[in-house]
Amino acid sequence: MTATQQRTAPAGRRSRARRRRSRTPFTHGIVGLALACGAIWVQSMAPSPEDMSAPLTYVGDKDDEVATGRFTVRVESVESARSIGTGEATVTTDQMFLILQVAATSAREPLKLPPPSLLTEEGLRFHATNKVQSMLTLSNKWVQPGMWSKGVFVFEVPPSVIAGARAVFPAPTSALYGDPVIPEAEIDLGIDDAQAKQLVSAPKDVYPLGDKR
Amino acid sequence: MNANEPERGWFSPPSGQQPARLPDYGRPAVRPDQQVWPPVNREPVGSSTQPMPALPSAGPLPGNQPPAPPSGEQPPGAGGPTPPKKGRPVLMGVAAVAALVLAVGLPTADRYIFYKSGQPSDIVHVVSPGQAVSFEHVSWKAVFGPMDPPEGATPDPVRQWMKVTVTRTALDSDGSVLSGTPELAFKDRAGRNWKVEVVQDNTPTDPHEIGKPYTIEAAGVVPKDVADEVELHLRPNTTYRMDTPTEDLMKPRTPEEQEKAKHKDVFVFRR
Repeated sequence: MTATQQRTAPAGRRSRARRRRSRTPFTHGIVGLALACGAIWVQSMAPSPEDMSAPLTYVGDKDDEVATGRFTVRVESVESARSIGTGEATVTTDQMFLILQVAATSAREPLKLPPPSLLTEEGLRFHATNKVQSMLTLSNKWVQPGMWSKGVFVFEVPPSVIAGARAVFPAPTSALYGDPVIPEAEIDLGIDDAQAKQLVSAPKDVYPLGDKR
Repeated sequence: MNANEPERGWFSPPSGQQPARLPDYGRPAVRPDQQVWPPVNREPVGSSTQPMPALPSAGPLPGNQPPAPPSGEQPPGAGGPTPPKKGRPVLMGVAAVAALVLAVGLPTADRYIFYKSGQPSDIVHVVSPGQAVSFEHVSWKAVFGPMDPPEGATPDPVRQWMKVTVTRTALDSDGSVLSGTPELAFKDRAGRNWKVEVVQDNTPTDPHEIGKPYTIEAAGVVPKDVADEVELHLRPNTTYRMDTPTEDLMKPRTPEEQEKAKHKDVFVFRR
């Protein structure tokens, strides 16, 4: 038994070595080709420039404090209205206004939140309305560390899209030396079908903004 | 050649003549017998370069044996087959790690250097409380403390309003025209920042009188729990001169001026 093992062990080692020697040119070519193909294939999975510059999304629900690296935002209530009182005038719509009560605080730096956008379940994206001056929204207030700033953001949307909609709050960006990956907070407004029906059927006639601070 | 001569071969000597003898070289030396086939010094079977089919049942072929390892210290097979080249895998691993570090690190360092070119680190000067500091032709002094919230502000138990009074004094004729408003900010130990907005700027639009103090009043809001520890950061503008002619405002700046325009010097005032 031992004799057999002693005889076969060197034979196996040598035959391995011989095999390695014999496959050197051909097999290495195949392996090199496979590696090159693999490298090209991996390149095809590289994210596109749009994906690379896409923001980092932090997801949360209504009434949650959704913290990104730079700011924390909380949606406190969602209301609907047929018109908005802006102090000097009342703006109206043939669709509907969706008003978000939002509180926000910052991690380190004072900042002003850019207006959010509304992402519907079908993937449509609505900007905050420009019928209401940003002076009356939370965009106008400094959001500073350790203190919650409260305000509203107003969307003008068709009534059919609000069920399942989410609000996306981007981080402010600096023009020149921007961070390559900026955060955003995506908050599910928690509008189910029943609440959507209620928001559409019973909007406020006039939502006062101008005198409310 | 005569016709009466008997016919003879061309190699035969003429009649009556002895054939010429060949020169006598003597008897050839008797050489000893030598085996020429099969060759005496033939190579052993298996050492031939001729390809030969290997018979698996015949066991290992003789010849071309690798030199046996020095088996004096260690019986063969006791420690298992040792890898023949021990240093290479370690070297390859180190090289792979080094390549990875370089591949990740070099672009990172490049981007960091680009980032730092626009956001250079501050040069911080801490000012002892109540003291003024002279820098670039101007003397600066700042006092700050809590204040009552202004009328109309939403009362909030978390917020503490802070009043800031910055006093600037021109030290020479350069200082009297270096009238740029300084940047102000509150900071706490953890590095959080708060806005300080200028409420009233009492500096004149004409060149300042040398040696006369002018005040800039500002206000900010900080959380109550850090109101006692916040520091006022004052970043003077050392490049804006009010006497710059309009046509020179767009003039390209020298590298030294560009470096100076980054305004890296920050003065930290404490209460």
